[in-house]
This record gives sequence, C-alpha cells and structure tokens, in this order.
Amino acid sequence: MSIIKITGLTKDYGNQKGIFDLTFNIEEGEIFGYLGPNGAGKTTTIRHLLGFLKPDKGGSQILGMDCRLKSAEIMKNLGYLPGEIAFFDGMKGMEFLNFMGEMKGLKDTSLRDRLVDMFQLDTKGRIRKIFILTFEDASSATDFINNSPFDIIEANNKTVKLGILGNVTELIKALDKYKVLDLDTEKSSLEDIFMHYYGDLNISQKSD
Amino acid sequence: MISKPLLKATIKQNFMIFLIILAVLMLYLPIIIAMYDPATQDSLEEVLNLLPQGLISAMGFNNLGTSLLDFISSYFYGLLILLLPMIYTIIICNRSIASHVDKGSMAYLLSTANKRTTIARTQALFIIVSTSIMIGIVTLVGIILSNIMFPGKLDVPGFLLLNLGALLLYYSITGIGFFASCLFNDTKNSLMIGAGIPVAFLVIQMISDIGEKTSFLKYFTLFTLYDPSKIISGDSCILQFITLIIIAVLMYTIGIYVFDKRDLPL
Repeated sequence: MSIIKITGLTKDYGNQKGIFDLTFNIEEGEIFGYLGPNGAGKTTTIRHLLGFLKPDKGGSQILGMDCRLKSAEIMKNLGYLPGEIAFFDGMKGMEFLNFMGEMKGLKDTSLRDRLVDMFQLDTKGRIRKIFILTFEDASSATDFINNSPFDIIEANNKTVKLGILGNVTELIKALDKYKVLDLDTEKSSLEDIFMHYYGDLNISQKSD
Repeated sequence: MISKPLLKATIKQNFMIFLIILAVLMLYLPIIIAMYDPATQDSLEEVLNLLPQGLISAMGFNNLGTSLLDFISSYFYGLLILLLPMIYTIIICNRSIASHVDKGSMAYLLSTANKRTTIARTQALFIIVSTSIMIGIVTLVGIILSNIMFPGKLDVPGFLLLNLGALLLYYSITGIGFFASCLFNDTKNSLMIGAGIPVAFLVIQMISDIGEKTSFLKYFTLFTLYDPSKIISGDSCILQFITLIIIAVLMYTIGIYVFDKRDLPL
C-alpha cells in the first residue's frame, strides 16, 4: 500500500520557482531520502504533505487522506520533526515534552522517559538556554514520543554536523520505524547517513 | 472544539503581562476613586480651567460632573481604560497566531492532531476570556472600593454599563488584532495592523475631542462608539453596543477562516 501518494503536485511561486507536476509514491516499509539542490522544492513538497500549503494543481495523500483537508487526521499517524526549532518562550525541557504529549493526546509516558534517557536530555533547563544540541534532541524526542507509524524529518547541515541525525538513525533502528528524510545539505555530509534513494522523482524544475 | 493543553500553555505564556497591566490598573483605580471629594470638586475645576481647554478635552476630562460616577468615568474611563488594557491586548493578539507562525512554533502545534480552526479558536477564546476577566476585575474592584470609601455614593448600574461598553469596545479592538495576527506571516506586519489601527483610533479620538474644528475626525475612529459621558447620562447606547458586537464577531470569524484557508510559511 502507498503510504504517501503525490499526484501532479504543482505550486508555482513565479520565476520558475516551486514544484511542477510532481508525481511519486512511497510504499509502506520504505525509507525514503528526498534529495535535490537548494531551491529544488524539497521543503515545498514536505509543506504540502504536512498540509501547510494549498497546491495550485494536483494533490497529495497520506494514508489515503488529502493532505490539505485532512491534516489533523493524518497527524494522528504521522511524526514530524521541523528543521527549525522554536517554542513558547521560557518553557522548560520537560514542560515542552509534556505539552507536546498532551497536544498529541498521549497518556503513556514510558516511551518519552526512555527517549529522555537515551538522549540523556537535560529536561530541567529552560529551552532557550539549553545547549543547542540538547535543544535539537528535545525536539527529536517530541517527534518520537507518540511512536507514530512513520515520520517526516527535515534535516539541514547544522543538524547533520551536530550529529543529531546519528541519534535519529539510531532511533529509527531501535524503534523499527519508517522514515521520510528531507536532507537539505551537501552530499559530502551525507555519507554516514543510511538511506535509500527512490528513483522515480520527477522534479522538472531545478535551480543552481 | 478547543485544545485544553494549548489554552493552558497560552495562559502560562501571558500570565505575567496580564498581572503587570492589572497591577498598573489597580494602582490608578484606588487613587482616582480616593481623589473624589464632592467639596473640592469646585476647586479642582478651577485648576483645570487654568489649562487650555483643548488639552483637557484631549485627555478625556470633558465631563466634570459632580457625582462619583461622573468623576470616575472622566478620569479613569476617559483615557486609562482605553490605554492600559490595550497594551495587553496588542501583545496577546500578536502572540496568539502571528508570533507562532513567525517563530515557527506553529509547525509544532500543527504537527499534533489539532485542526487549524481548533488552534485559532483556542487562541481567540483566550483573548476574549482574559480581556473579560481584566475588565471584570476592574469593575468589581471599582464597586468595592467605591463602597468602602464612599458608601452608597456610586451609581452601580451606570458603572456596570460603563464597563460593559468598555468590554465590548475591547472585543472589537481585539477582533482587529486577532484578525491581523491570523492574516500575516510575521510579527512585524501583524503588529503594524493589530497595534497600529487601535493606537491610531485612540490618537484620532484624542484629536477629535479637542474642539469643533477637529470633531469631524470622530467618524474615523471606533472609539466614538464608546462615549463614557453619554453612557452614564442615560442616553441609549444600544446601537453603538450592537455595532461593536457585530464588528467583533465579524473580525474573529473572518480571522479564523483566513487562518484555516491560507498558506503557511512553516
């Protein structure tokens, strides 16, 4: 069964920027690395999958549900790790994890505690003041706490250099989960990251 | 319908600024009530007469009647009630949606199984309820203090009506702020409209009060719909109040709709 289905997805930002008639499927059990140069439209595609953007033409489905119209429903089964981390000012690490858990409607905290332990998170400090690495880890933990069937992970050079993705890939192995990785980075930094490139991309517009 | 955890987090986020503004209000209110003295009202008026009429009018001190309600309405409800809670509402309106979109934290909120409308409704509810609580506390403390310092002197129904008007005015002002917050991607633009319009309204209101020549400006400010001296003099203000309610309902509804439908740069 196709978990993610993208059909003729088009978002035109003008100046030949955006995505044009993008079509591909991602099957269950697949680890999918989505690569392309800066400006190719990787993040734009992800934003459509998350329901943040309304396509000009075409559409995308996750688990058979329209990404724009049913995003709340889809999120019940989807983990998402944003590339940028920002949160309520002055929230402490554990408050943040609790808040995200409550927002996701989770009752069981055992997985969260396991992750806090695995990451050796400082959950007592204020998020703003915690060392950036912990900050990113805290963020990854919030993605993983609900143990959703699959996740979308946005990564950039910074996260790769800081070794976050090392942790993340360990987790993927440990939790036996399926992942979609959006890696916004140079190929040289990607050597250590295991991924499977799915060869049916149809990005008709490329910058650089 | 709403998200309880988000409401809790938003309350926590804005608790401090709420307390600070409330504290300033609670500092002024007793002082102004205590300043009331029927005997010295005349001498106060003499002092004020020394000042240029335009300046006095601009400060909202037009109606220097003799009752306690006249006194409070001109000194507290002429300007302070328009200015102080507005600082609070401008901040919370911007924080409600635009700031989350600007910072990127909206991505986290939407990565949970909550619809955009649920998020927006929760934030709107917080704005409406917390503003109501603030004006409610002012009303309650005003009545209690008046009855302690000048037992039986306060026209309570008139005072309640005065506060109801202020509250409805705030519903429509926060409606504008909330709408701007839903519409824009960044704090800068959200504040330009969400803070700019209410502040401009207030300034226009002050200028239009100065005299005959500038009074036509009253048609360009929402604050004209809230006229303390008219409210306490018993003039019917139902039409004004209904207008304020309609503006508020429209702004909040359109705000939630726009936020639900638009593209988000997260």
